Order: sequence, then structure tokens, then C-alpha cells
Amino acid sequence: MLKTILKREIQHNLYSLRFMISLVLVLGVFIVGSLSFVRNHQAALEKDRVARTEFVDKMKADAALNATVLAVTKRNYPLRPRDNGFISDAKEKYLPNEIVLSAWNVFSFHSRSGTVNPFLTKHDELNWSFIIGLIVSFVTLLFTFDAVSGEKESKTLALALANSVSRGTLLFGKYLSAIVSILFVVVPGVLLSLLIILVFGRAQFTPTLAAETAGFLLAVVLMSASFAAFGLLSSVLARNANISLLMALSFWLLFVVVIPNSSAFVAKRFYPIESSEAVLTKVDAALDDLSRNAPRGSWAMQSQNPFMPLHELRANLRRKRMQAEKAIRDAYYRGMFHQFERTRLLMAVSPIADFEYLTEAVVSGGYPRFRKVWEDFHIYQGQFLAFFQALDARDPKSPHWFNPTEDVSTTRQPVAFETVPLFQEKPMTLSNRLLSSLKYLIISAVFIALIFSLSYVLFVRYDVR
Amino acid sequence: MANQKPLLKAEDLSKRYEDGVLALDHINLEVRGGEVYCLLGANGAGKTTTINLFLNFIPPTTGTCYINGIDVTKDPLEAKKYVSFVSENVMLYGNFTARQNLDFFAKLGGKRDLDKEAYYQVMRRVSLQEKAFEQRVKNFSKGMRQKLGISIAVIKDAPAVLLDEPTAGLDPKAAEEFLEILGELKGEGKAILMSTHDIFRAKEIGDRVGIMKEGRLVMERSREELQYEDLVKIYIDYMKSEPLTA
Repeated sequence: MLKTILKREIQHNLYSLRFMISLVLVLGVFIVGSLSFVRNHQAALEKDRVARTEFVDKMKADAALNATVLAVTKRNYPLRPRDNGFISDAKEKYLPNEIVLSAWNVFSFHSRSGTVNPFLTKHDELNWSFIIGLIVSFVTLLFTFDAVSGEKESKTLALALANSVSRGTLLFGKYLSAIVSILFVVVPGVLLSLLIILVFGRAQFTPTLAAETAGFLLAVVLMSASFAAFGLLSSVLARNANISLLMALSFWLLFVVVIPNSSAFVAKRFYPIESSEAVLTKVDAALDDLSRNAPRGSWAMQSQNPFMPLHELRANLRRKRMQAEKAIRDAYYRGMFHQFERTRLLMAVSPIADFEYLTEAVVSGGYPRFRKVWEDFHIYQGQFLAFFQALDARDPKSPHWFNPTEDVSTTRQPVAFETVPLFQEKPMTLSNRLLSSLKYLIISAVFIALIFSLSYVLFVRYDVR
Repeated sequence: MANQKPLLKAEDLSKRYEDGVLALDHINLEVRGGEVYCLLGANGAGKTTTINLFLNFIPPTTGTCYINGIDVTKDPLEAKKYVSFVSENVMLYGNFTARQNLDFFAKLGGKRDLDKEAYYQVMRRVSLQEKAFEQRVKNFSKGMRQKLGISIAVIKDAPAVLLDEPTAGLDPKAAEEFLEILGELKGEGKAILMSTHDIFRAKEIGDRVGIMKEGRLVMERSREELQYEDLVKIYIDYMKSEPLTA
């Protein structure tokens, strides 16, 4: 029976004008988005290549001077543009994309726009995630908003239920068919986009890309399932299709526009943190305190005489200052991460937010990527420091007074650049991606089950006449 | 000739809606195989409510509906195996062809593995034009849709048939064709319960005629009894009479 209903509903959807319009719209946007990605990504890769070459050249020059310069120089590490950005940009344009560190510390993170026109820094890109989130969520509601109320108007609902078919089976058939029909819109778009990326972007179809595409489609199924449940709920709440459409549009506005765009308000209201100005004041106060209480001669400096005895006091003071600032800043960053993560969890009541978080995990991008890179940079910094300290330990001339910010008090010997550890970003492993997406998968599943169950309960009581 | 087993039976059936309106007031009726029972009455008399209760679309306030001896509230899915339904002004699925509509409802009615010719035969039987078989229903006239509606009932081949004002809005020729098909179904031994406003056709096709007023079955006559009575006069008299007291 379910098969019969499913077949009819899918046919009904595929024959409809709304399907044809949706398909043309989605395919068009997929094509434009993919071509735009190919063009922009190649430019971004070239820019990244130039920046990296300059970065490495500067590091080589520092290494040739001496190991201390190499260790104490603060460097801005840009994050590489992701090759799978056509699947989802994971809102990385709103996230920090540059991390500042030396061998002594991971200092901070920045947002580097690198664009010529500052008015164009925050434009949305037509990646798969954006297309699905905005257009397909709407189309899913269009496929379902009149599934019950429309059939009530045409009296086919009563005719169908005059047979030995349970309301649950009928509703589930309609629900499942909406999700399958959405795949008839999405899958051609995804395949077309892949074709464009592979042919014009000269990308390789690797097992990773295949897995990411499959993961993305799973996220699409979950998102469509959520919106289809809302569509059905609208349909069983109303007695006619016009009211259902109004309700469905209200759901769409709430979950696609209102909730995702209220995250800043929610974060400030429910999880407040210190302002950056307050943190800077705190840092300044801590540094002043250390400077005031430092032994006399701690600020003595003779760069021509790197191993001057008073430099030991200076190195001690610099280390203490760095550690004090690091403690305050790290606490601030932890607060930020906590605030962001808690807010995301609240935002996950929106299927669109859930979908974004799931696609982030699928493509190893966005916030999970940033957090991983942030942690990895701390590991790298530890390795870099250990490398430097080993070099310094091997230099009999070095007094080993570790000054984390100045080119004095440690080895003056140059270092072979080939031996210097370099940071290499590693994508999240499959298990990390799964772990990162698990809570959003659970939230999605619970959400879908709740809304569908509510629709079912209402449909059982629905006056089909 | 009607056999003895009632395929449709309403026992002490009442329905009071949530707004307090008493739509049906302790109705008892039976329809046997090979019998056509016509329910007459003004709008709001309770004819459609009776049919809706048989289909378990709404729960009764008191009483029970039986289809083929099965209590429809207790086992609706089993009961509905034995009944077909034709409603007033069936729209069907407009972007499907007549055959596709028939195919879908036949399968819902438990008729699987039917080939195209089987569908064509049923549509021919209800006098639907051959060229309409593979046309989309959205372009059909009301008469064509009603014929397709009855072909859905015919293909299910259930022993009982419920019809809710099936001839409303049909032109005389279409209504006449419709009643011919009903006559054939009756001849096959089906129990037919039809609500209608059409007194003349009720007299023509009905083996028994019931008149409903304000939720009550105020009169019931057999075909034999109506040979000696004027149904139109009886009907009008009932309609003109004082409102029934609660």
C-alpha cells in the first residue's frame, strides 16, 4: 500500500509545475554557482600560493639570520582556501582565517579579507549548501504544504480513505514521497555541478570527494525531512491550502530567516562574555603590574651585545609578561568558543542551522575546522619550540635565557630551513567529522520525529470530509 | 432480489458535533445485497453524515455502523474492504489521466495486477468516451469525472456501495447513464446506499426510500409501497411540516 501511495505522490510531484520550476531554478543556480566557484577558487588558490611563497621566503630569510629570529618572529599563518568550498563555504568568510604565532606562543586569530573592495567582503556564494538551505527548503514546503489540505479540497482525500488504507500509511507515503521528489531536484543539480567542477576546475574525483558528496546528500535528506514534516504539519493544521501555504511560509521565515539571524542576540543575551576592550584593559593592567614589580635592570637592552648579563632579567620579564597575557587571552578565547558553541546548540532548533552544521562537518570546514586548526597550531607551536630549544641547547655559546619576543639571549647560529618544522593543515578524520556531526544528527532526528508525530496525531483527528 | 444479509447496517446511530449540533438522531437502517436504498432530505438533514459515519470519517456519538457485519469503528480497515464510495463532485487527480486515477484507486482498493485493458473495460462500462481514457482529468467535465468516480467503485467490486449525491449537477443524460450503471451494480447483488435530492430518480432506482429531516429518519417506504403513494407529495409534506421537537 505504501508503495502505491509513494508512487502516486512522486508522480504527482514530478508532473507538477512547481517541480519543473524548482528543477530549472535549482539547476540554473547550481550551474552559475559552480562556474563562479571555479573562477573564484582558481584566483583564491593563486593568491594563496603567492602569500605562501612570501611566507616561506621570509621564514627562510629568518632561518638564515639565526634560529632566535626564526623562533621569536610572530607570523600570520593564513588558512588555505578549501577545494571542496563548492559544497559549502561553511560561513568561513565570517570566521577567523589567519592565526598568529611564534615558536613561543599561539597569540591570536584574525579575519583577513584580502579583497580589493571592502564593500564586497561579505557576499554570499552560490555553493551547494547555500542553494539547498535557501531554495530547496522552500521547495520542500511547496511539495508538502497542500498534501492533505489540497486533497481535502479536491475530495480525493476522502476517496482514498474510503479504502483500507490507514491514515498513518497515507501520511507517511506523502512524507516519504516529498523527500524523494526533492532528491529528483537536488541530485541532478549536484551531478551537474560536480561535472562542471571536474571539467572546468580540473579537480579530481577522489574517494574523499565521493564521501563528502554522499555525506552532503544525507544532510539534504535530513533537512528536507524536517521541512517536509513542517509542510505536512501546515497541511494538517489548516482546512484549506491557502492557509496551509501561509503557515508553511511562516515556518520557513522562522527557521530560515529569523532563528539563524538571531544568533548574535541570543549569544549576548544568554551567554554574555567580556568585551575585547575589557580584555585589553585587563592585559594592560597585568603587564603594568609585572613591569612595575620587575627587578631593576629588567628593561636593559643592548641588541649589539645579545648575551649581556642583564638580558637574563629581561628574558624573565618578557616570559612572565607573555604568560600573563596568554592566560588572560586564552581565557577570553575559551569564553568565546563556549559562547559560540552554546549558541550553535540553541540555533540547532532550526533545521537550516542543523543542515549548516552537518555540512560543515562533511566538508571539514567552518567552525570545526577552525577549532581543529587552532588546536593543531598549539601542537605545532610546541614542536617548533622544542625544535628551537634543542638547537639552542646544542649551542655552547648560548646562555639559554629564553626571551620569547626578542632576538637576544639565545643561539645566534643560523639554521637549515629544510630541518625547520612547518605547519601542514590536516583535514578532519572521518571519525572526527562523525563526532562533530553526531549531536546535530541526533537533534535532526528528534526534531523530525517530533514534528512528524505531531502531524500524524493531528491527521488522525483530521476531518477529511 | 435482495438477499437477507444486511451488508450496510446503522444501529441507533447518532452524531452530535463539537458545536452541539445534533446532525443525526438515533438512526436505524439496513441495506441488503441487491438493494438500492435512497436517502432523501433537505441540506443538513443528516444524509451525508450517515455516509461519513459508515466510512468512519467521523466517530458516532452513539450507535454503530456495520459493513458486512464488521463494526466500522472497531475495525475500519477491514470494514472498508467491503465498501466503495462515490462522492458528490469528485475532482480526482487533475494532472493524472483517467487510467492513472483508476489504477491508483484500484490498487488502494486492493485490486492489483490489473492490465490496461481491464481499466479500459471498466471505463467503457461506465460509458466514458474512449478518447478520454488517456487524457488528464483536469480537462474533464463534471459528468466525465462522475463516470470515472463510479468506475473507481466498479473496479473495486466491493459488495456495498455508498454514494453521496452522485447525480448532483449532472445533466439529465449523464444522470440517466449514471443510474443505469447503478442498476447494473444492483443486479450484481451489491448493497447500495445513495443520498440524493433527486426524488424522481430515487423513486425510479430505489428499492427503499428513506426521508430524513433534522437528523431523523422520518419515513421509510419500499418500492412496493410507493407504487400506491406519491413520493413527491410525501416528501414536500415532510419538508413543510413543523420542525421536529428535540
